[in-house]
Amino acid sequence: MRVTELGKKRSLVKRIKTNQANLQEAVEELSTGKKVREPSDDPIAKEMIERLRSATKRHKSFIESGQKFKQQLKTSEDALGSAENALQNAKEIAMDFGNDPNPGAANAEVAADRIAKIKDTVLDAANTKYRGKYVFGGVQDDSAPFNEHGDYTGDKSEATEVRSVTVSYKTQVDQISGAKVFAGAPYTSSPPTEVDNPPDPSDPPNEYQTQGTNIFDTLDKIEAGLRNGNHEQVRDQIDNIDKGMDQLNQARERVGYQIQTINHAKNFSENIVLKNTEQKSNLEATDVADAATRVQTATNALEATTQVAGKVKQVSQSFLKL
Amino acid sequence: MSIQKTSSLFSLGRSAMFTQRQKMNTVQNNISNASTPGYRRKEAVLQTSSDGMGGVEVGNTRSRKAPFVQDQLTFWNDQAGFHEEKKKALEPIEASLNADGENILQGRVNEFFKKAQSLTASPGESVDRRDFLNRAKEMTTHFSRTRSTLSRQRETLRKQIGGKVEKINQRLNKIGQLNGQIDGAREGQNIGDVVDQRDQAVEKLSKQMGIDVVKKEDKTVQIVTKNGNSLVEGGTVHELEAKNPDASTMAIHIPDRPSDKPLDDSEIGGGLGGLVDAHNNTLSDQIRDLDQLAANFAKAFNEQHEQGYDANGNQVDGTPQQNFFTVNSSSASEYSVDPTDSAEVQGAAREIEVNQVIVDDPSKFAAADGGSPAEPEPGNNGNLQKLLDIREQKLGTGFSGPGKKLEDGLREINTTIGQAISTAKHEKETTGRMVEQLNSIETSQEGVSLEEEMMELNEAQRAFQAATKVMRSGEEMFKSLLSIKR
Repeated sequence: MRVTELGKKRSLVKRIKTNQANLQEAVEELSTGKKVREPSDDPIAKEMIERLRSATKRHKSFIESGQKFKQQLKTSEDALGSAENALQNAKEIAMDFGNDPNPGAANAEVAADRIAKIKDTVLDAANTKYRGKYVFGGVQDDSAPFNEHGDYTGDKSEATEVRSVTVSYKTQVDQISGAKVFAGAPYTSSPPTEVDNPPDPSDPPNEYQTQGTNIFDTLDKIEAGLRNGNHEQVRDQIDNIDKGMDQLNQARERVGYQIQTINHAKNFSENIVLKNTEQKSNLEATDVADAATRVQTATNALEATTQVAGKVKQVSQSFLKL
Repeated sequence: MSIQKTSSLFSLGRSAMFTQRQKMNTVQNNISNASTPGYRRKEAVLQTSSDGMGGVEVGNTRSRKAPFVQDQLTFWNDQAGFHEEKKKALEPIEASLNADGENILQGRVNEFFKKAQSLTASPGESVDRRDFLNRAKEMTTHFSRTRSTLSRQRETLRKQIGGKVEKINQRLNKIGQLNGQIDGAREGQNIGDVVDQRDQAVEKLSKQMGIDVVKKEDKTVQIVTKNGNSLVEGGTVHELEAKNPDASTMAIHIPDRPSDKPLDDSEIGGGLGGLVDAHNNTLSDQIRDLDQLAANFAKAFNEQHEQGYDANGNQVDGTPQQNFFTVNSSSASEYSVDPTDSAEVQGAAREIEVNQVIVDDPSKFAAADGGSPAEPEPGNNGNLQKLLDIREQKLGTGFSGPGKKLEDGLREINTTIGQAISTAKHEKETTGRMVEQLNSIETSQEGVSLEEEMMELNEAQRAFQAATKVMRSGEEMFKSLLSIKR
């Protein structure tokens, strides 16, 4: 084969350019740690990487909203605990005076004052805020769900509507309804029942309706009984206090269950995020040892080519001196 | 011995010296052009003198040619030129659309939905609403930026196509001119260099555009497009013209043709074909898809937003002024866009914005699915949950295939551009290797080897010296003859 000047030059230039390009590519890969940087590097792998990234962000968003809601639920849990303790005290007072035929007017008055304070404590619990929003206000969390008398002030036609938050795919957790827990609003599905218009007990029972106890009414009746010296009235409310405490306890259990659900959802999402990160890394990350070897190989090839170019020139010059 | 026969030594010597000098000229020309691309090595072909008196003359100067290689190069230059230009046209976009290995627009869409998800836990909090609206604004800003990146590159390609057509026309004219010189050459005139220049111009043209070369008996060539439209015939040139009938199309015409139909995109070939393909197909398609996605998403989101109630209990009244997203394209109304109307869709990705009325008053965002002004439900996230569901909806209108989810559609745009670049890269490498190989064979057969030329030079030098020796001997003999007479 004839070797011409242009041929020699083109061949050497091509080899040098190729080796430079290979070196550049290997250096990019080593310095970024990624073998797939742009979609054109590997379009299919890149699409998978983007899908994994989207899915990871989605799970992180579930974790974020879950943790935010968990703080609200913890605040509700504390408030319910405080209310339950207060009701326990109220029960003790009611039992003492309900069963004592001669409590004495002064003692009864003191006891009535204590019941009034207990009511205030329960009212504070029912109107607990988290970041400026009423945790038992349902969807109307801008305004206090209970007034100073213990009357429910929320949307009476939607008394049981609460906010649901998605904490994972297909997993939702709900707020606790203040109307149900403190005012004894019926546990009902549609159509909702108004708080101050409960169903007539003589009506056939609706399987979806369970009428609860209005804790504030109960405390009002106990206070009234004590001030009037009507210890029968006081004694009659002991069952209602028990029902109220049950409501609070069940609500606390529900909150605990909700928090557990959030925790499980978080663990699940974190596992998914971990797996996705691993898969993404497998697709995207370079083998550092391999990349370093290629850098060395490309460097050696480039050096060898430039040395060869020099030698070719010498051979030509030697010939021309003949 | 006659004086005539003695004097013939001079003529023989003279012819030899003259011939060897011509040969040395040829060698010198070869050496001077050893590195000139496209130069074909010339050989002075010696023959016995045709005047019957003996001696030597240069019969003709012939060029070394590799016609088979030239034909193959015409084809492979077209392929390599196409993929190289297409790769160069699309690569700058990829760098603009991605940062730290992530598609920027997709990232913003993810953040938008992430904030929406977070807002479901606290829909009444104005700080969280503002945060969500900021993410929405970032997302629309990046829709616009992505669209601008694609359309700016398309605009650049438009100019490049215009420039390429000008260069092709210059080259066509040069080929025509050289054809004219070849055709007009006198009998016996050495036109080797002109032919070489013409062939070099044809080879360069084959990289710029897909052509077929028809060799004529008069040594001129006819250049035709792949579908047989004549570009150069003898000295006659039919120039190209680039037209821009609409924003998404560049068309190449031959104005001299009776029909005004443009060349098919597939007919153009070469670097020009690569640029036109990148402009008309890759970029224009992705811009259209991006606009369609933006329009479809805005409409779906707005329709669901219309079902909701704001934080003050007001129901969204369904007028465009209360839309969450507005699209201010020149043909669409200020607030809404009809995704089935392609004129309105055009530019939707550039124009989509979050309604400033809602940005100024975040309480107007309709996150709730119930309430009234007397009994507002700021903590209600029912409509927001449904807005989040749009993420999983296939937005069907306006695509040639089945509907696409927003994120899938965006990924597809990125992947399509990536695939086009990847294919162009690999094809460029493959076709480039073919071109390299053919060029190597061509230069091997047609090029100048300095070592060969040095040997030729030595040979010519020695022959020249021998001829001068003969002439000196002849002179001596002549002098001797003349001295006999005295």
